[in-house]
Amino acid sequence: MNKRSALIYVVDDNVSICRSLALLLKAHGFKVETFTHARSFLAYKHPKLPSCLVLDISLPDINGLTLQEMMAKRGIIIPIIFITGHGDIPMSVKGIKAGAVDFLTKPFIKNKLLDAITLAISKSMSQNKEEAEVSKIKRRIKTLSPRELEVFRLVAKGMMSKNIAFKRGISLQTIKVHRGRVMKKMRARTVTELIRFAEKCGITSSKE
Amino acid sequence: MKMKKKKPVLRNKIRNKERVRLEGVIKQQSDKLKIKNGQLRNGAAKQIKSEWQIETATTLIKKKDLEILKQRAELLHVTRVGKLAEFVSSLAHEISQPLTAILSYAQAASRMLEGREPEIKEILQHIIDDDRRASEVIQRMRLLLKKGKPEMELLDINAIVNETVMLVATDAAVRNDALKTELKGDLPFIDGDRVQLQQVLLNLISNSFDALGRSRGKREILIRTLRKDIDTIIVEVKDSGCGIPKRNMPKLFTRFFTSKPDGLGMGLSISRSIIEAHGGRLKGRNNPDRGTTFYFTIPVGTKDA
Repeated sequence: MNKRSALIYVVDDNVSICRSLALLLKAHGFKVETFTHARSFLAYKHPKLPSCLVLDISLPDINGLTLQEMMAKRGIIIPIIFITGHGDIPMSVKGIKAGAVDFLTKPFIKNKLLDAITLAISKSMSQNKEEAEVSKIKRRIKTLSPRELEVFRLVAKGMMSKNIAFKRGISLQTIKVHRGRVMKKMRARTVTELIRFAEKCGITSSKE
Repeated sequence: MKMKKKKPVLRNKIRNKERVRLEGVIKQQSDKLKIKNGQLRNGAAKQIKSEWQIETATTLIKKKDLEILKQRAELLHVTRVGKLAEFVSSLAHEISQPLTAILSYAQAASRMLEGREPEIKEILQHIIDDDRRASEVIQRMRLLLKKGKPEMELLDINAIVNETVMLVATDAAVRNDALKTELKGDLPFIDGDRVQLQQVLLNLISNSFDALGRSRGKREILIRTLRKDIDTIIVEVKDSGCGIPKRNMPKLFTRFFTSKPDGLGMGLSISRSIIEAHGGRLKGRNNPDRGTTFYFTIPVGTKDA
């Protein structure tokens, strides 16, 4: 993990906690951004970096668990480590179920925090990679003509060229040409790869 | 003449007939009256009965009211205790915030020093260690407040005594009270809930602190563990405090009974129910010389017996 490019967000209404955690994490080579309100964190423009959010459960404006839900709805994909001054077990279960990496009860020693951060950053990196791949595929799909997109969908559904030709009343030769162009534009080496692309972007499940 | 002669006979006959009819009517009427009377009487009886019921019901309501009043008073007290738990919980939260910050500052500074300034680094390490000690106290406080089912496990009673003594050692030092232990070695394990047993010991020790505070002279608490018989262990908390007035003895374990102005009257009653849930007994007595001894028995763990 390249720490220098990893960004840690700390959201806690206690200024001392923000300041001290920022110092500690910076001393360990991370970039750190601190917020005392959930809203200012949401309003922040999150750079595409491997990142992780150290989040206090009880914030004055938006509860930490609610913030977790809001982030999911807005497509802000950043792994979360919850911190709390109350050792509330049921709350932690809820948070972990909703995808939090860890749940630390204050005060925690730095090793616990650093371990959780390492885990969160690696999760973030694979999430970012996945996200980048999906947007790359989506960009390629945009270059397809309507007819090519249709052929792409049908191929992704597992139809043979023959069947497509028959179903659409077009010659097999034309379908083969379209299909060749789809493969080229999508930069798929094999049909299997093409189908994988379709699955990643949810093309298979779209309309007939 | 004939007519005249006949007339009285006829008259008599008519009279007789009339009399019989009238008698019949009278009888009928009087029967009706009797029935009416009976009904009336019955009704009256019923009314009387229901009046009696109303009276009983009123007494019952009054009784219930009294009960409710009593329960409300108890509830108020329990709420006070609940409020205390809430207060301690929020206190733990408030303290944990600066402790977290101090810990992080010290760890950051220590990291920044890297290989330099070994003396300052050592000081920082002391700060970190003491912060963690404070955190542990908070952690224990949280555990004490946690409600729920007892978690039974095999425990070393001497270890529990030592842990509890550690918790109050500073307190004892500040009060200038001597806190001694006499632990019997080689005791078998017992089956119990660690936190609950600590709670009982803490309660007995803090009672002893209070008793010492109210007395002059030797200030000493002695905690002993000993074996009563093959399957029972005794834990004793003996103090040289003010002792318990004779008249308070029977009420010692009564809920909400307290002799302290700021007492809740919960400690000993909760302690006794904890010990009884562990299959033991909790008792207290005044020592022949001075102070009191509270002691509880606890059965040896099943897996160990």
